[in-house]
Amino acid sequence: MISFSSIGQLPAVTLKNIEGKSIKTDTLSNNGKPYVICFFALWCKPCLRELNAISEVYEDWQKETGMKIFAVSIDDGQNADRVAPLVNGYGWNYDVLLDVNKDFMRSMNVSLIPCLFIMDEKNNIVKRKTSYTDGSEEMIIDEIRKLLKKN
Amino acid sequence: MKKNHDSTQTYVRLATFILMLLFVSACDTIDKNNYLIPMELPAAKQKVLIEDYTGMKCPNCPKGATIIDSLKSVFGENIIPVSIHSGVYAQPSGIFTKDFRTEAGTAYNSYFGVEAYPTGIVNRNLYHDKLKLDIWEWNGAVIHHTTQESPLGISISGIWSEGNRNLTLKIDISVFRETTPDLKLQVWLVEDSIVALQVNESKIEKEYVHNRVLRGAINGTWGETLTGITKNTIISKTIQYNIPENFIYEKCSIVAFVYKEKDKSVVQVNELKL
Amino acid sequence: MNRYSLALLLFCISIATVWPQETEKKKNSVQLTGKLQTDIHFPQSDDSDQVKEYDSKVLSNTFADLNLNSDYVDAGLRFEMYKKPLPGFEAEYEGLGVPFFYVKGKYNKLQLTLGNFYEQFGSGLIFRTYEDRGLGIDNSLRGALLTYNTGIVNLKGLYGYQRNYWKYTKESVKGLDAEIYMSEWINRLKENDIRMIFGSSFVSKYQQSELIMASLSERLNLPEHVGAFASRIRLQKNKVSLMTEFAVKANDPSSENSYIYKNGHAFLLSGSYSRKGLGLILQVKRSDNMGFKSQRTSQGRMLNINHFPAFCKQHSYALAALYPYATQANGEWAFNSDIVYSIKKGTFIGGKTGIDVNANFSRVNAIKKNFAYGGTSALPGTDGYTSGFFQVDKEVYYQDFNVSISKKISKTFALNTMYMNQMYNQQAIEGHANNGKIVYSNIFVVEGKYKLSKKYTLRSELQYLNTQQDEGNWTFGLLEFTMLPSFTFTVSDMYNNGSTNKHYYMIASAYAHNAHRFQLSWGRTRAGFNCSGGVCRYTPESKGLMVSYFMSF
Repeated sequence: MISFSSIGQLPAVTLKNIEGKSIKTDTLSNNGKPYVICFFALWCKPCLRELNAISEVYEDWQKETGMKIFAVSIDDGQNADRVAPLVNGYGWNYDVLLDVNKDFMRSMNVSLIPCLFIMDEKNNIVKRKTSYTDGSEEMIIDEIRKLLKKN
Repeated sequence: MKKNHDSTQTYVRLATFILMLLFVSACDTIDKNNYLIPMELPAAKQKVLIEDYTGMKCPNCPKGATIIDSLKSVFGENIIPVSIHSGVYAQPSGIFTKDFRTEAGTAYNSYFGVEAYPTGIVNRNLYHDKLKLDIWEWNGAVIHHTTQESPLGISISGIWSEGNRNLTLKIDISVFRETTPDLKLQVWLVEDSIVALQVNESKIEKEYVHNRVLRGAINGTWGETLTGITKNTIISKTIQYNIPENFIYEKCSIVAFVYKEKDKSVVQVNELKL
Repeated sequence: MNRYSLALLLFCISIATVWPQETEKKKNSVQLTGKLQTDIHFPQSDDSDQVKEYDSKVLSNTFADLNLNSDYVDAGLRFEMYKKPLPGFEAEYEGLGVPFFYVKGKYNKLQLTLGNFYEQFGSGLIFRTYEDRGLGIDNSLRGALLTYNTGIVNLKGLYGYQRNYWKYTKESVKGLDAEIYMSEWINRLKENDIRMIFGSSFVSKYQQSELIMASLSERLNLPEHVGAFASRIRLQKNKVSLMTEFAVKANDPSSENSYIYKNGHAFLLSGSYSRKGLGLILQVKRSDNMGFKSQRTSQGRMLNINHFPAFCKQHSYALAALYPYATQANGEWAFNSDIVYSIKKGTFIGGKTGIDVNANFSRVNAIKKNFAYGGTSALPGTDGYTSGFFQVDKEVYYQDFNVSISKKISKTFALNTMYMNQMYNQQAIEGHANNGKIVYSNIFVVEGKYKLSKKYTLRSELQYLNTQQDEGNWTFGLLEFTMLPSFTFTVSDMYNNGSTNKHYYMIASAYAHNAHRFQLSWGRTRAGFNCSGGVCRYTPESKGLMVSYFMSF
């Protein structure tokens, strides 16, 4: 990304969260702390593996750094209705957003999933991670620790 | 003061929305009695070639053959249908042992990218911007193309020698008007009344009569180039052809057509029943 | 002025207008982002007569996107190149150019997009334009899209011409959608913690009349404006959620439905219950004559205005996805149910780490069609057939029952097992059946993941498909070695031990670092249907080297 400003801005796409509320993506934030936007789909096995792996250590990560994950599902049509129950079935604690027509995914220039973005408190993309290999989720918490150290 | 401004804004927005709704609410509903409009067929000015890409295992193909039969009954000799067996449904397998595919037919199937069966191509010319036509479009395409006038005329005559199965064909192409110079002549051998299996929707018909089956391209898959095309001339071509043993002479016919090299569209076609 | 210059000009104008702007609200910021994706295939000839001969040594599909974002204006364009497209992509794709570009103005709650756009109304029953590069789908409209989002009321209005490979249709589509978040409005709902969203949309397409004969003496009286209406309600309270949507389409005689004048109907009902550790879904759908294309004579994947996703689980295991279901536009009665349950750790069955259980059952049947005069198919120029709402036909299109259990056996080993029983109506879905109309199969999958060390992981899959139809049994094996942080190496083979005894092998290596991904693979791929969301593309058998590269900035 080539930016002409130190304050980043997320594209403004209107999505729903799984509680049924309308959310505009340019308002995503984490109270001045870094956060992660993670794209996934119910049919994407590596995506589910990654989010399940993080789910096991999510509480610890949150206690340590105050970070937060926005999991954005690109499941479409009536598959979007299956996201909430399946996400709860897996026991995830993330904020889940529904991007039914891949609008947010397109505007973030994502083509392949899993794909996640580590965002700093100023909404700048610090790191982008495509594909998941076992154990690679450690990189996320390492980056966030680095960000907090900088401040 | 501000509250009023807000509500006016809401009303303006609501009004725009209703306007947009009206703009969008275009919907034609046709009354049940008016689904069909009677139409008289325009006079046919030229003969038309219709290629029916089909196969023995294709369930919807007999429907196509029925439509061609009805076209033949109305247009008579002005329509020249040829069934080209090609593609996945013509491939022999299991109880379907006969192979009606030809080298030429497979080449045409691949060139035109035929993937669905039955597909019809009328005069290798566009109809509604499409080359490959759905069966319900064949009627319209044939009617449309028969009203065009051709700058050429084709006449075919032949001498058959039963002993050595040799057929000598004489094809005369008369040029009535100026036309493009890049023309090619294609001659096909077509056979009628072949009894074999055919899938018909959910059934398999054991004694289905296959008509007008393309058996081969006599002068090469893409034919031969014509030269000397000028107004008011007659170009004559003589072709010698040996009809293979397994084709029954009495049931065969020769289809000859002239087409434009660049877009393969047919300029004139004619048929000779042997 | 050709298209490229126009797109570039729009792009530059956006940069120029945006640059010197000062606003009271936000700091001036301009971002340029983009991505590049290319897949290159070097086909090899094979002894097998199934592998097609190509007239080029290199086949490739390439996409490059550029996006400019700022406070008030966004702009973007996409360059596509199919210089001899990949196997399975028809000749009409060939070419290169900029088929997609847009300029978007944003002010407060309003957004106006001029150029190409993608949009969806509700579940997409009457309108969905989207992009799926793997399937070669891009049915975007080029025109104008106006949206107004307050978070309580979201309105959308659009008008445009649809993309058809490298051209745009003469036919136009217009649409309007309104979505109201009732719980933000009605306090009673908010107090009782009930979320209610109500939505309604109307879409209309326009195509000039043309000559289509119903018989040799009658032509069809074709409607030029064809409208469709849809409405939806979603209710959510605590752990329970309910969603229902219905759609009606006016007379739309087209090639897909054999030119009948019957209205189209669709109905969707979905209910779910979810709490920590348990998720349950039940869904039902009925669709009847809901194919909706901008050109009435069009057939196939292109020019669809709406989208009906497959009402069953999309599988990623190779043999489970061997017979994928493709949505039948002309009518379906479908049922789908899922249950996800996490057996907690510390319980007797759960053991130290817990077990995840996932079960799914889906079934799709044809709708019962009563044709006029007891016939077996629809006649053009008539209403075609009647079909009662609850009339389900005996004919099964697809049925899928699968159970998968995953458990972390130890700190270094995780196991996932799946059993699947499938019924696939090959005759109806593919148009022809090789050996039996319906393929009945049982599929077994075992997947193990070994964490060899902090850096190395080995994943293996063993799959077996048992069937007596089509090509018989299949066996699949896969070994994947990953080396943190970026390297993956995979070896796999799909072997048909039923009838052809052919091996479909693949060796692949991938390297991913930040925003770059590079993959090299060589092998032989089976001919088959690649499906996503109920839309399928047939790819012929292929063999050769494939190079893929993806990067974004």
